[in-house]
Amino acid sequence: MTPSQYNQCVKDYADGVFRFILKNLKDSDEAQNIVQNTFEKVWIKRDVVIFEKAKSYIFTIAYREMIDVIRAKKKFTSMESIKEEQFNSLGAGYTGVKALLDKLVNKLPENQRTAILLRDYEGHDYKTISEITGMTEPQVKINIFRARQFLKDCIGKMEVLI
Amino acid sequence: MTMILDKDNYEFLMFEMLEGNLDDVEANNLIQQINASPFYQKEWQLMQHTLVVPNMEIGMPNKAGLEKHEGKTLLLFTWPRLVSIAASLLFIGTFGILYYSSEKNESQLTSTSQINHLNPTPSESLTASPSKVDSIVQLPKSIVNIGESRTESFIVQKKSNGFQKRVKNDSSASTYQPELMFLHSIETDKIVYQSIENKMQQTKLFNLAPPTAKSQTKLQRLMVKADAITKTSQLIWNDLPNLTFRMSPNLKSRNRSIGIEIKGETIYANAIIELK
Repeated sequence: MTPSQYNQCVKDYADGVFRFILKNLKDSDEAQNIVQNTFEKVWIKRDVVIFEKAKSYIFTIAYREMIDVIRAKKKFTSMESIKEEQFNSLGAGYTGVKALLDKLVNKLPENQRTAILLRDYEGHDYKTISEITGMTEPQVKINIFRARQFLKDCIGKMEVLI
Repeated sequence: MTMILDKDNYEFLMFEMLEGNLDDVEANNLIQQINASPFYQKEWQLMQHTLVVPNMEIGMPNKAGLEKHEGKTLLLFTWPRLVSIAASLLFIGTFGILYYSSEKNESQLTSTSQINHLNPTPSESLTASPSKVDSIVQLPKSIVNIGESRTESFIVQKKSNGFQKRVKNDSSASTYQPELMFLHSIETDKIVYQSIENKMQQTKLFNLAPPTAKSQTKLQRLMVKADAITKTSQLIWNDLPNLTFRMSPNLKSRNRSIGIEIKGETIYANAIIELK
C-alpha cells in the first residue's frame, strides 16, 4: 500500500471507525486514541496490507483495540440483566425511534452490538464481520438476528407503553 | 420455492428480507403476504426500525493529522533564518580573523635584531673604543620609539651601579645625572667597565647573577609573550585546513537556537545562536 493509498484509507474510513468505536465505548478521547493507534499500525504494516482489503484490516485492528479497552474497563452488560421497567425511564425522555434505538443498542451484549453496528454502520458482509470479530459467519448472522429481535421487541413494547 | 409466513418463521424471513438475503422473487412474495395481514405489517414496520443509522455529522477530530507524507521535506530553515545564520557566521569568522591578525601584528612591534642589541652574546668582547662603546651604551632608538608610540615618553637613567633604568618622562622624574661609563667586556658571569668619577678613570667589575623572572626587563617579557603568541597564531593558521565545522539546530523547543562548533587539532570554539 502506497502512502497515497494509505491517505485515501484515512479519508474514507477514519470517520467510520471513529463512529463505530465511539458507539461502543461512549468515550470520545478513548475512541480517538484507538483510531490513531489503528492507523499507526496500518502505516507500519503498509507494505503488507493490500489496499483492496484495507477496510476490513482497519476495522479488525480497531475492533481488537476496542476489545482490549472494554475488557480493561469491563463495560459489558448482559442481556438477562435488562429488565422491562428500565424501559419506562426511557419513556420520560423519548424523542423518537432513533433516539430510543441508540439507547437500546447500548443494552445489547458485546458481540451482538458489534455485529449489528458493523453491519448497519459500515455495511460489512457476514464474511468481513467474521474476519473482524473472529466469529464464524453463522455466528455473525445469529448475533445480528438476535440483536434485531431484541430491538424489535423493545421498540414494540415502548410503543405499547406510550 | 414459495415461502409461507407463519407465526414461527415470520421474524426470520423478515430478517432475511431486511438483510437483503432474499432474491427479488422471494422478496416480492413475502411483501404480498405481509401486506395481506395487519399483524405482519406491524411486525415488518418494527423490524425495519431496527436498522441502526449512523450520525454522519460525527467524524474523527483532526483526521488530517493521521495522514502520512513519505519523503516530506521539513523546513528547518526559512530565508530570514538562513540570512541571519549566515550573517552570524560571517561576523564570528570576521571577528576571529581580525582578532588573530591584531595579535600577530602586536608581536611584530620589535624585531629580533633589536633583541640581539639588548642581549649581546657572551663571546662578544669589546675594546674600550670610545666610539664603539658609545654605540653600545646608548639604547637603540627603537626602544625609545616603542615607549613613545605608547603615548608615553621615557628617559634612560644611568645609575652608579652601571645599570640603566627607563623611567617615565614626567615632571616627577628624578634629575639625577648618571655617571659616564665605558664598557670594557661582557662575559657570562661579569661585566667589566670603566667609569669616570671625579675625573678619575676606574675599572669596575660587576658580577652577573643568573637571570630570574623578576630580573628580566619588561621588554624582554613582552618579547617572550609576543613570541608565544606568534607561535600560537602560526599553529592556528596552520590548522585551518583541519578545522571541522558542525551545526546542531534545536528548533523544537520554545527557545530555538543553533549550536555551532569549530574544532581543529589545536583550536576549539563553540557558540550558540538564539533564533527569535
